[in-house]
Order: sequence, then C-alpha cells, then structure tokens
Amino acid sequence: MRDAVLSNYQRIRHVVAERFLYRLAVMLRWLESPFGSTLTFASSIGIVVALAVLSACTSLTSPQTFNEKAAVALSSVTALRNTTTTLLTARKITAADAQNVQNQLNTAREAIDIARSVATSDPKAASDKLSAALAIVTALQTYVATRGT
Amino acid sequence: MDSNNLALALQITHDLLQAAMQTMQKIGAAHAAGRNLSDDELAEFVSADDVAKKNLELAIAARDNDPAGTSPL
Repeated sequence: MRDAVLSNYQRIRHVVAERFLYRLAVMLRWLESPFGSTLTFASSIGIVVALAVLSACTSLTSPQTFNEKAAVALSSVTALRNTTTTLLTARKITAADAQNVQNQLNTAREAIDIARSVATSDPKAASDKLSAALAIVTALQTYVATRGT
Repeated sequence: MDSNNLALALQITHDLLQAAMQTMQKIGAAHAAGRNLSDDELAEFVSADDVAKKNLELAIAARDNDPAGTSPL
C-alpha cells in the first residue's frame, strides 16, 4: 500500500514537473523564433536559473487531492491569461488572437468549475473534466507561442 | 534577439515561474500543516483567475479602441 502511494506520488510529481518544463520549452521556442537567432548568453543564464528554481519548486510538493489538482489547473489558466495580457500589451499578438485565447481559457475554466461542482458526487467525471481543461491549456500554450512570433 | 524581446521573454518566464511557485507553496503549506488544500484555499485560485480574466478583457478592449497603437496601454 505504502509503495503504491509513493509510486502515485512520484508519478504526479513527474507530471507536474513535465508540464512546467513544457511551458519553458514553449518559451524557448518563442525566444528563438522571431529572428531565427540562437539564444543569447544572458537569456541562457536566465533560463538555467529558471530551471534551477523550477526544479527546487517541484521537488517541494505536488498535488495529491482533487482540490490540489484543480488549483494547479486554475493556476495554469491564470498564468496563460497573464502571459496573453503581457504579449498583447507588448503588441506581440493582436486583439483577435488574445480574444481567441480568452474564449478558449473561459471554456477551460468552465470545465474546471464543473469538475469542482461534481468532485464529491462523481470523482471520475471531475477528473475527466480537469483533464479536458488541461488539454485546452496545453493546446493554447502552443497557440500563443506560435502567434507570439 | 533585441533587448526588448529578451526583456519580454524573461518577464514571461518570471511570471510563469512565480505562478508555479506560489501554487506549490500554498499546497506545500497545507501539507506542512498536516492537511490538504481546503475549499477556501482553492477559492483563492478562482479569485486570482477572475482578476486575470478581467485584466485580459481590459487589455483587449484597450487594443480594440487603439488598433494603431497611438496611445500606450
């Protein structure tokens, strides 16, 4: 039993770390794409520091319960909204692109809200809804990276 | 890559990392207290997303009203 719990804990931690690393990978692609240039020394240092902080962060804890997984999903949606706002303000994406992202994120948020409402009565459906929301967020990360070039 | 793009990329990286760290810190604090994340604590994430949603709405509206970029956002 203890081994099973530990195995599940490590699997969740791996998934969380993988998701954050994916975000950084998307950022790296965005960094490289505008001018087709290689990363500068300064940005490389920044990314190494970011990876170190990320590694330390994800080793601290990981989501275990539904509430914690929902919190990670919500924070992913929020982070993508903030990234979109930053890119729009910097005029790297158009208002139409930003509105498209906003609409999709609203859909993801609705899925999370539905998951929260049925978490007690139907845990399986709640988990499926959370997965659907995260799939939307993952797809949007790629979309934003593409449109941000 | 010019300095503006580099600064923007680093800002976004910083924001993403900060958001990830805050999430993990809240979950970690709950675990340290011998419990899991409560409904009230989850509600804080909902509120934060509501704020981010409103900010993005405002930024989109500002751009719609200034498509040529004649005034700073």
